Amino acid sequence: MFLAFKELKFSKLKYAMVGFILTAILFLLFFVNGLASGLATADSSSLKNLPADYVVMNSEAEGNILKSEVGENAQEELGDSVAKDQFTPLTITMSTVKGKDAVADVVYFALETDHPSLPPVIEGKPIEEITGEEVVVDESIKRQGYALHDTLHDENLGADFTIAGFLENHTYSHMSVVYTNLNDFNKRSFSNPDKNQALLYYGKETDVAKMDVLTLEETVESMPGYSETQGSLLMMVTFLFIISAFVSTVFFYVITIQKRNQFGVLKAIGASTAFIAKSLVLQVVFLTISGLVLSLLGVSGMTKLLPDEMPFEISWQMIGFTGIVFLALNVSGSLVSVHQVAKTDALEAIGRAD
Amino acid sequence: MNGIIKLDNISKVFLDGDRSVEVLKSVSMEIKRGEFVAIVGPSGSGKSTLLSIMGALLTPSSGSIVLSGQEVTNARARQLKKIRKHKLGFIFQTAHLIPYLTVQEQLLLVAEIVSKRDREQREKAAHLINDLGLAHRENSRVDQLSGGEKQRVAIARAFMNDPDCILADEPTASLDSEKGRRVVKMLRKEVKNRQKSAVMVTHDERMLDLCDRVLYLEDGMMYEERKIHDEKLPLR
Repeated sequence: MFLAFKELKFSKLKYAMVGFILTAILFLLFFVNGLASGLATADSSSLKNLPADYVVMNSEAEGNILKSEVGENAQEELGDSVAKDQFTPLTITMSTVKGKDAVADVVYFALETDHPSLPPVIEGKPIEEITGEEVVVDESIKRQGYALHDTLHDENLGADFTIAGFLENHTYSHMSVVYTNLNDFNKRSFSNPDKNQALLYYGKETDVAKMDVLTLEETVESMPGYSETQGSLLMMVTFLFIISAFVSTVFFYVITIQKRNQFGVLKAIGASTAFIAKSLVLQVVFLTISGLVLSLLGVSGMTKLLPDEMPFEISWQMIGFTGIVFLALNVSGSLVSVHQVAKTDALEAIGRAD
Repeated sequence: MNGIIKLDNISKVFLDGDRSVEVLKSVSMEIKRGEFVAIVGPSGSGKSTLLSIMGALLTPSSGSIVLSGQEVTNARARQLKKIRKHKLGFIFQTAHLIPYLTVQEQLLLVAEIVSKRDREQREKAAHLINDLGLAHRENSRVDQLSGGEKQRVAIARAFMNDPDCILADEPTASLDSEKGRRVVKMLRKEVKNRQKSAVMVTHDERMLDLCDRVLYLEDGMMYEERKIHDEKLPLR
């Protein structure tokens, strides 16, 4: 125990440098991780939080909800196996709205407002109670300067809406989602009541002719670009893990080989491999945990500097998981060095000038 | 009291490629309590091998060996380690101290390996440091010590686990003769005061007058010679 810390103190520079590398890698790891989950949320949180167990889209859309078209037939067919009040058509329209001084891209999600378990609002009127021109919008639109009761002027659709409430975590492709009442939406001239983008329902998985029935998770993953983005970020994270494990393994391996002579002396005196290995592993654990703490400080400082629009999200579960995996990798890497210690023979101390 | 170390017909054969080389040939010797013995011999005579066998680091190819009253000829590695830990003290060619520890910590490290660091061990360490004239150096790190001081710390360290026998591998090799002599004198003093035994392997003929007995090793054969330049008699 005291051997480990005395040495750390004595060779400050050496250990500080490797500690710095570990900290830098961990910082990057947390950052990429936070970015991955932030991007996932900005891209798909609206789909993840759809009020449904299953989403019905037509097969040609291949899971891309914007391309999907679902007609009357499918609604009737689904009505055979799912109770009327457990499903709703969903119409999705992308557009741009203008306010007093800002333009914002939005996505309209029009559905029947008597559908059960609609997303709860964090401010204003719940979705169940909106009528006419009233809409409930994701709070991200506040960044464009919109507030409760403001008017959204949509030139493309030639319509005006009033913000009656705000939701959280409802964005699609970084755009704010606008929940509206489907019946009122269909009364407008731009809407085609016979065609919806999807059907949402609660219940068991069923078959609908020429349609795909997807879970929310599948809906999210088949979003264009979603798997590709998340996949490449995951690859970066994996490689950072591997690189960090290699850096610390190689560092301690080289140091251990340098110290073989010293270990030989310790063994001649009667120290066991476990005695020496304990101090080695303790050093690895100490450096790794210092790296974790420092990088978390760095990341939390960084999040304060990031602009609001930057999709960045970090959770305690993710920090805990990353920390444990990182520690486990580094400690298992140090076993390579422990093996060297075990191989060192006390005999090496005898008959040697240095 | 019988011999602390007793070697009987010890041979050691090493494989050199496909040839076997007999490094030690039927060596017999006995070292008694309180005795300070030197083993002298040219390079390659088998001195280090002999010391390693006495130090429970190597097992002989044949013959029997008793270390501090225990028969260890067929002992297992674990048992040998225990003997090293509790019954033997080592002094190496260079002091082989741990570079990042102070003089006091070098001794306490042994205490930690053997048992644990407690008050008693601290007092013992302080006592040894004082005995070897290092009191003013107690909290100095190794790189601040002179060569002689380092070797004295090594001696103190060897005594720290209260061994029956000290094994010294050319302890004066890196010192000039004056300093070397002082170090060996101190070693002798500690051996006598504490009634331990010591075996010193050395090249340095000038130290031999400080030893109780001198054994000569040549080509793996041991000779005893009470006076220098006497005719060497094989010991069998």
